[in-house]
Amino acid sequence: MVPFLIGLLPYTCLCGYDQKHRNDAGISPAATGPGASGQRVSLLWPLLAGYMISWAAFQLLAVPMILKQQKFHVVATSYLVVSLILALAGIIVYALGIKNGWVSLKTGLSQIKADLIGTSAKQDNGTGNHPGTGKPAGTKTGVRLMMILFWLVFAGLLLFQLYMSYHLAYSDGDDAFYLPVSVTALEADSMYLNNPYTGNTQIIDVRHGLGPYPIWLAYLAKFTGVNATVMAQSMLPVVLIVLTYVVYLEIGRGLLAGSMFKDARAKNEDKPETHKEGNIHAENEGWMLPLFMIFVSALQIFGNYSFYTGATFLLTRSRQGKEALGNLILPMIFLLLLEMSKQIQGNAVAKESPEDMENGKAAGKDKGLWIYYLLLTCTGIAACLCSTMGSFLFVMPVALAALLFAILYKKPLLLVSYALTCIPAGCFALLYLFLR
Amino acid sequence: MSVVLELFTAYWGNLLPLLVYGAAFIFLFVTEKERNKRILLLYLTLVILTLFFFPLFAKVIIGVMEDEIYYRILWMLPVTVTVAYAGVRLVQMLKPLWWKGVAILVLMAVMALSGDYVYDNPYFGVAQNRFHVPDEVIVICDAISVPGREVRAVFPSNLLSYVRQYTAAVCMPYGRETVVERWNFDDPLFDAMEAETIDAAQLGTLAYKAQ
Repeated sequence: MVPFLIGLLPYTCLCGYDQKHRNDAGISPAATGPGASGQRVSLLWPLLAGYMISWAAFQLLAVPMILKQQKFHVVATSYLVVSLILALAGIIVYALGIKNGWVSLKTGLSQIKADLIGTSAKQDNGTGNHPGTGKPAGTKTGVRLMMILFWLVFAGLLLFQLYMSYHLAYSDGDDAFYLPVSVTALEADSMYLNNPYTGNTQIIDVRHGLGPYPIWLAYLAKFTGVNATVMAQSMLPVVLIVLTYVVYLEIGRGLLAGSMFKDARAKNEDKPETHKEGNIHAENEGWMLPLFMIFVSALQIFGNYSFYTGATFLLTRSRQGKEALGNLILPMIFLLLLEMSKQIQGNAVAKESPEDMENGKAAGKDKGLWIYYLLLTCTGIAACLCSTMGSFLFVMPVALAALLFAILYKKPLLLVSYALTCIPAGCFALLYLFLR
Repeated sequence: MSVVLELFTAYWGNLLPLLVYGAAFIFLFVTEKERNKRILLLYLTLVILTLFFFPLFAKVIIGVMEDEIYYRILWMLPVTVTVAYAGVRLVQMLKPLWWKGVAILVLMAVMALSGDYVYDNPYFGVAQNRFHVPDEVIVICDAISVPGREVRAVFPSNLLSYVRQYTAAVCMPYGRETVVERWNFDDPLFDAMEAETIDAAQLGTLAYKAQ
């Protein structure tokens, strides 16, 4: 709940930019469907953004205290205070957003309803007509039935995985290291000063102390009153598996929303063939998102083709930081890069075409790109919390994607922006190299 | 280079998932028109794979980290997203409706048959309690615990990994490090404890010394 409230901060800002963009483009406030110049910022974003911000805050707070050999309760109490302040800020900003008409719970819920069972003609784009073809918009009954069926199948697959994560125990040797770190923090109030295998005192374990995911787990246990191992083995997997699928859901939405249609709608208004049935760039047909999620689930459930795959980690070692790195952080990086690339591409299209420059409102003016940069930075710091290798696994794809964006969109300055997002994660990597 | 190739082939198991990923990749390479998606799903993948196999890059990264975790670079490949997205696009292109249904079933079968069902992994077992540790660990630890202080105990090798997951109040003279063969951790008390016939006198002496 607290991460969700924290995530309301960036969510409200993103909605503010989105609303401004809609007002400029003259789109009805009621429109939520794929015809509505792209879909609204999903109500699931606060959850994802909130986790990234909370993890980043924990990493920034905990690592200096661990290196100073502070007691665990000092870290836990300080972090609780910081979390509550951030959550309060989220609530206040959200309230301001409601007052200014940027966000509304009703619109957020209608977006979820639209994803689940489709849209009515009015909801689709606010006018009742498809903007590309001029035909009546809204989801057809057959498509609605397919959507409901696919969502039910996906829900079944997800519940099956959640049940198995609770019902089955996976014997993994690494648990003998990470879970005693959490249990020791909670029971002995010390962090990384005991050998997790034996309990003997030791000099501080800097290498693992730089990625204090088990300490975050101990924090959760402390303030929920649940034993750290029970939290790690029986409760956290349920949350993290769901979160992983939320990230994939947003990736699916981002890939299937027909952003070409959305961002270059003005440009293609005179080319209805761009939207004709069967075209690869046709807009999201409603059933595609749940089908995407079914495929993702199947790939996870049957992804144990080796010990090393992300899917194996997701469903066998869901309580470990490296699992969160592979299955939450890396897909989150992909999601953020995808959302950012849409805006960068929108701007590039607008610059290439003077008429779009004039109505650049529809063609991708800045819709809060800086918020995505901040979220990417937080995700980089969160990656360092999950594993000491996190900094590298964050910097490498971000740097390579930035290089490709800079070359292919002919925007060399993007390299600077993305380099800035990598600085905190890079600092943790340097710290690791100096202290290990 | 051979280490990198070994890790790559070990990562993909029987290599069928790699074929499925390759097919999805080629399908999107031919059909996907949006530049941002091509960058993230296709070009980025090619660059990551090139770096993964690039000897100098591999040497530097393996030098900084352990070679056994170099495979995690492959986590950066958006395998799940690429295959699922390509599958949806393929289904979308097919007409009429019943072809879509057939394609969905075939794709699901391909994913299932090329992969491996995670829950038949031999390391899975029905959880005996919410701690997901053997019941005997809980019974023994509760029996030997002394309120307000730590206790020190020797456990048989099959329970070593679980004891301190249950409680930090039980300390041990040796832990999981002794049972991981590649770590070559030698402990005479462990040898005495794990001997086929335990010499109680010797075990007692070694345990006393280990206090």
